[in-house]
Amino acid sequence: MESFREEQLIFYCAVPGSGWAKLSLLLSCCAKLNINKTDRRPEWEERGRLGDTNHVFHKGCYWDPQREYGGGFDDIGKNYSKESFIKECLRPYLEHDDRNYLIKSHFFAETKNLNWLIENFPNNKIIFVLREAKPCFEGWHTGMSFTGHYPNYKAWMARTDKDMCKENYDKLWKLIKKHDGMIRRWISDKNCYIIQPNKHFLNQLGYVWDNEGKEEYMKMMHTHQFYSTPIPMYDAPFCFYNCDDIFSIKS
Amino acid sequence: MKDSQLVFFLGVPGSGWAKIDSLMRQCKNFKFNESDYNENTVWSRDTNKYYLNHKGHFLGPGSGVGEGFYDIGKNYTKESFIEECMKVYEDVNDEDSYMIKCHWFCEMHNIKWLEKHFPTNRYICVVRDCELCNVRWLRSMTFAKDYPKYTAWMVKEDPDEEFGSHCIENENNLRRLNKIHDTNLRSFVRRKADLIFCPTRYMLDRMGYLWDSTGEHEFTWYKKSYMSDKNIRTRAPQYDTSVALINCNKELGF
Repeated sequence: MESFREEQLIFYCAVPGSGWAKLSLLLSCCAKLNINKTDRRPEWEERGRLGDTNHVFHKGCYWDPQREYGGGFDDIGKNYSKESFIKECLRPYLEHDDRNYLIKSHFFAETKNLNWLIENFPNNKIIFVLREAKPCFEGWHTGMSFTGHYPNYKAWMARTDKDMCKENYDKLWKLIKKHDGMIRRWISDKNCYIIQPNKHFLNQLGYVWDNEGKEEYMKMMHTHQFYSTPIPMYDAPFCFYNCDDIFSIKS
Repeated sequence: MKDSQLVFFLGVPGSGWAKIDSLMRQCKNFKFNESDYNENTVWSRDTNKYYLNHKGHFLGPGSGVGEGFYDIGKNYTKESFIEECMKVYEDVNDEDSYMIKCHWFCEMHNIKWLEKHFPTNRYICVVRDCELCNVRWLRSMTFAKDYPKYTAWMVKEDPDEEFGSHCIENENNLRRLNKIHDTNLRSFVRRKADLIFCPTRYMLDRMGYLWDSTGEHEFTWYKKSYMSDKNIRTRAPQYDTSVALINCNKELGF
C-alpha cells in the first residue's frame, strides 16, 4: 500500500443495462490497463435472471449506495474526504501492488461526482459506456432484478416491500434517463475518445487471448443482445477520458 | 494519379453519412480534394428537426454518374471504374485523396469486388441503427425531387411525394434495401475495421480537423443533428452514429 499511486484508480461509469459489466470484463483482459482482479469472489458472480447460459456476467465488486461498498457514492464530496474515498475504493481488494483498480459505480454519473473526481484526481482515467436509455432499461429488465441478484439495485427502488413492481421500474427508468443525460452532457465538452470495442481496438489495448480472454470475448460477441452475430449493433461504445497513454493505434 | 488516392465511402441513406463526409473532409490528415463541390452539388434543408447539407458528388444509379454501380464487377473493369469515379472531380492530381461516395457499394458483390481490386485502399464506413436511418431519411428527403436523386430506390412513380410523405411501395423498398445494405456493411466493418469511433472534437483533432469557420459550422451542425433532445438544459449529443476506418491508421495521428 505504501507504493500506492492515485492514478492507479480507474473510474468506470455507465447506467444499468448498458452492458458495462460485460464490457468491464473485456477491459480487464487488456494488458495496457493492467487491472487488479483480486476483488473477485464466488459470491460476487452473477449469471443474470435468465440464467440460460453458463457465462458469468458480473464479477468482482460494484460500488453504489445501499451496497456493501460505496454506500455514500450518491454524493462523494459530501460523504468522503479524498483519503476516505480512496480507502473505500481499495477496501474490497485482497492484494495491493502496481496493478490498477477499476472502480465501478453507476452513481459516478452524477455531475457533482464527476466534477469532484476530476478536481481531486485530475490525472486519473475515467471510462464510460454510452448506450441509449431505452435499450438499457429493456436490457436490465430482461436480465436483472432489484434485490434477487448480484449486485443489488436497492438505491433504484421506490418501495422496498416489493421487488419488480411499477413504482420501482419507474424510478429505475427516471434514474437511467437522468444519469445517461448527465454523462453525455459532462463528456460533451471534455477531451474524450468514443470508440467501439472491436477486436482490432482491443488488440491495441494489449488484449490477452488466453482462455479467459477468449471466453470474455466470445461471451460478448455471441450472447450479448447488442452483439448478435453476424452483425454487431455497435450501440454501446466506450468513452475514454484522460486515457491518452493507452492509445497507440498501429497497423 | 494512383489507385491508392481513392477513399471509398460507404453508408446507407439516413445514416447522416453526408454530415460525416463533411466532417472527414475537414480532417486535413486525409488531404481530401474538394473539386467536386460546385453550385450543382451543394444542397441543404432544415426541417427544424433534421438539418441536411449535401455537398459534393454522390455516385450511383440515378445520380447521373456511376449508373452501373449496382453491380460494379459486371459493368466495369478496374480501369473504367476508376475513370467513372473521377468524372465528378474537376481537379485531378497525384497528391490529393478523393472521397468516392456511393450507397450501392454496400451490395455484397460490390464490397467483395472492391476488396479484391483495392485491398489496401482506405475505406470509411458510417454505421447507424437501420431503423433510425429509415426514419431520418423518410422524414427529411424525397426520392426524386432533392439532391441527390434516390430514384434507384423507387418501385413506383410518385409525383405528389414530399419529404415526410411517400407512397408506401417506395417506403417499403427503401426499408428493404437499407436492411440488406446495413447488414452487408456491418459484416464488412466487423471483418475489416481498424477503429470505430463517434466523432468528438478530440478525435477529429487527431485527424487534423481544421477549426476554421467551415469546420466550426460543420461540427456545430453535426452535434445539432444528433442531439438526444432539444431542451437547452438537457440536450447532449446522442453519439448514435459510428465511423469505421479501414487502412486509415496513418491519418489517425496516434
